[in-house]
Amino acid sequence: MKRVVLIAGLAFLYLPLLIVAIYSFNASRLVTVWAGFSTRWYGELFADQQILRAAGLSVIVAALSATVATGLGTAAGIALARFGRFKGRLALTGLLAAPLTMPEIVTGVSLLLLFVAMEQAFGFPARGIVTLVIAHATLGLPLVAVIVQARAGAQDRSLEEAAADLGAKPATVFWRIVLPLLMPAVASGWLLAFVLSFDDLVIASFVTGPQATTLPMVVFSAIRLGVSPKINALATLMLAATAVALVLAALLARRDSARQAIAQSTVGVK
Amino acid sequence: MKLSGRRKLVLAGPWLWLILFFLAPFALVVKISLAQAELGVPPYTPLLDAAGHIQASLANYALLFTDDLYLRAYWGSVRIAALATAFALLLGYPFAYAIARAPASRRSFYLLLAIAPFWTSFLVRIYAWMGLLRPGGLINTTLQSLGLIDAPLKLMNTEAAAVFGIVYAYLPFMVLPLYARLEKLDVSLLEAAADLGATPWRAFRAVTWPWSLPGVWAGCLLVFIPALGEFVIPELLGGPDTLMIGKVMWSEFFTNRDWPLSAAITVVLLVMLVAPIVAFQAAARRNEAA
Amino acid sequence: MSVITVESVSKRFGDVVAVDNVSLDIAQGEFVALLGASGCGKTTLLRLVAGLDKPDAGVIRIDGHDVTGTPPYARPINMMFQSYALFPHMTVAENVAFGLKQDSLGGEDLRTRVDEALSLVEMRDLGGRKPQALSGGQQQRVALARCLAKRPKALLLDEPLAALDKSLRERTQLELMALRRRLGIAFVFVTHDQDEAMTMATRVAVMDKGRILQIASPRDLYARPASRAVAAFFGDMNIFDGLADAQGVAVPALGRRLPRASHYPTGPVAVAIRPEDISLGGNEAITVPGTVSDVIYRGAISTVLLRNATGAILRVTVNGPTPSVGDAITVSWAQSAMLVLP
Repeated sequence: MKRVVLIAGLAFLYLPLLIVAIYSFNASRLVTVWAGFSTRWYGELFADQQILRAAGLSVIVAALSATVATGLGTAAGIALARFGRFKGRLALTGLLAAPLTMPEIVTGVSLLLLFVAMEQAFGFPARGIVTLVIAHATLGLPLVAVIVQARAGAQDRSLEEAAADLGAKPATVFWRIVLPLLMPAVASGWLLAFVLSFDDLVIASFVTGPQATTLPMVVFSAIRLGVSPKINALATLMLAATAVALVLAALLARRDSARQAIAQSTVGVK
Repeated sequence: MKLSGRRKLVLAGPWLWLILFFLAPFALVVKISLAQAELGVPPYTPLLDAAGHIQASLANYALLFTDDLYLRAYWGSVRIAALATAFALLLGYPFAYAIARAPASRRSFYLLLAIAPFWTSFLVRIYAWMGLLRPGGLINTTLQSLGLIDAPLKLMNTEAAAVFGIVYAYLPFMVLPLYARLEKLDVSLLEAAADLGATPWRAFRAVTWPWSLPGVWAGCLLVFIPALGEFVIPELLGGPDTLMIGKVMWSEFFTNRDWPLSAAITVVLLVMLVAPIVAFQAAARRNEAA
Repeated sequence: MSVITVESVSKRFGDVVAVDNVSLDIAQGEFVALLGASGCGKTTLLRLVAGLDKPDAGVIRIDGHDVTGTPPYARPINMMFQSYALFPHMTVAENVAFGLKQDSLGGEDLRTRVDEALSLVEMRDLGGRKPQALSGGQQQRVALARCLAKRPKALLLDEPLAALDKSLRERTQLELMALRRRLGIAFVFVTHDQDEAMTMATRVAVMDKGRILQIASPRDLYARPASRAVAAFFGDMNIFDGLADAQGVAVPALGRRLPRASHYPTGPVAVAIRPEDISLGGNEAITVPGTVSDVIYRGAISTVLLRNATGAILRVTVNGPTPSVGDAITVSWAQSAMLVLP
């Protein structure tokens, strides 16, 4: 019985995705009729300059925003795990939980209004890559913080005490012991923040400028018009890319505690 | 506890970032919701006019509460989000239970499998269902070739499709907190209940269900909150007849370029979300304490 | 000259007094055990000496210098953690080198010192391994080498053998003792195991509720416990309440008065008799009749439980044939075998 539920649940989650992947290799333009195996749509996909440009922009934005999010989120995560019951801790925890539960249209419109007001007041930032990076970093920061906090909290404090006992000053303890041990969590946080940014349509639609169109925005306007084999191919590639990123993140976070942290942080996302 | 200068510096980064890019914008949303749309850059009237008088009006809010399009859209969002939450619970509970009762060595692997789809592109997941649900899609063609139906069923562009899409997209949010709770249930309690003569159903009602309630709450809120403001799913699966506030806000913003009205819509949505978000944070804290 | 001096040190965590006005003097070359049940403050005391916690009151000196406000990284002593706290992202050799690098050692000197420390614990061949690839016993040796490489003035060990299985524990006890003799520095270790404390230490400090109850050589501690609490710590001691006055000690549980000796305290006391000091039959000065309620067979020796007329139970160690359950017998002990404790 439990097995049946398990298999049915997983099938429900994965079958639709599998069908998209299968039909991306369909030779026919008619998406429902199987006309033999072909990689023709992948060829067309790689000839589409608009899609390639958008994909390139999405990768750049995702990498930059994940990096900013990782820097700030690691600091927040370490602070929450290690600074004791400092003043403002509860407020910070609440503030970190909020961006992850907020509907995207709310975050999107409020960030846009901020960017417009800033541009009016200081002439900066122009809408485009910079605003996309800031928006996505805001989204990724709490995610990284949750993952790093979980790992730092689970880390054996006696390792740091031992380092101090062996003569290491606090700065040495941080750079030689604390940070290297947190690296797997930091790296998987970066990857997940990357995925979050790469996947975002709604917030990007609000904050971007006319010159910067991300991949999800291109995909969205294409699938509004209906299902097409080329989009099947693109969807399959995106599935494959996230699968690789996830496997990587899971391998980096081999320890159970970190794996659970990824799971738990997923709760907070979106 | 007092923080050293170095620690204050560590905290300053995330604090300033979140205040500037997350909290401060809400004040702007409120401010602009009191303005009027006009042609120009930016497309709204300034708070202070040339003479230095404050130009604030509640006209946008008045419109929201008089034009029944908006009221119906808010109601539609609440109804669809609530329905989707209920179905997600119905599907997610047995699923989470099955994972939590799987052999310990495989649990975290199953959990990862259940959550992984969340990390794949949201658009791709909705797109997959478009391919299945549309008139010439796999479900209709299969049913037709089996002779079960003559004409294709209207599966897509219905409110049901929107509900279904939300359930599919947000199922991991339901499964995760439920699993976290159910996994900690002491199985010997159920064995004791069985030993004392309770049928499995009564044991479930007396032991498992009450124990899992915090997880149920957390899961429901995690599905309900983002679903309330959902735009992509009703747009792609719900079709023109499905009215949700996210869609209305999107078209006011991008099609009509009425930023002040969109801001007012957002403020009302935020007010609606305050209660569930506070409830969620309280539930999360209780879970952490337990 | 004493290498570690603890003067009236106190430490509280919230409402709990972990260390309560403790003074302690440890001389060079000593092997001191801090013995007590969990929560008695022994580990806190060790951490205060290492500098990992700061005392609320009192002074700590190392080699005569006041180090009370000195951070752990500037104290010339090292501590081995119960969990060993080996850095998982470094090899064995890198672990050992870590402390030396903090003293700006490098190049050939560093290599020699690492080699030396690893040789000391016979781990030279495994320098390239990661700690996770080692057995528990090997990890313990690496942790030891990492401390000793720094040539500390004293070594602190927190439950050094707790993570080892029984057979390995005995061997390691002997190795630690040999190592301490060879290096000639003071070892201070925390343990909850009285056998371990008695076997290894030259002096044992028995702790309870943040205080040192008694500090003495294992022999003295066994023969002359200073209080009922210390006596209760060691094995199967028979302990009864009594009331001492000028004439003698009244012990209700034994249903009799015991004769008075000169060095007894007066007032409420505890009377303690070791099971092995009691013999079957009435040959000794103090006799107690009773019924055998149980016989516990333990191989070479057995323990006989005797219930007397008042219902009190006496444990008697028997070396040879034992009486049967239900037998009415008499046991006795010498006046000198009896301890009267405050």
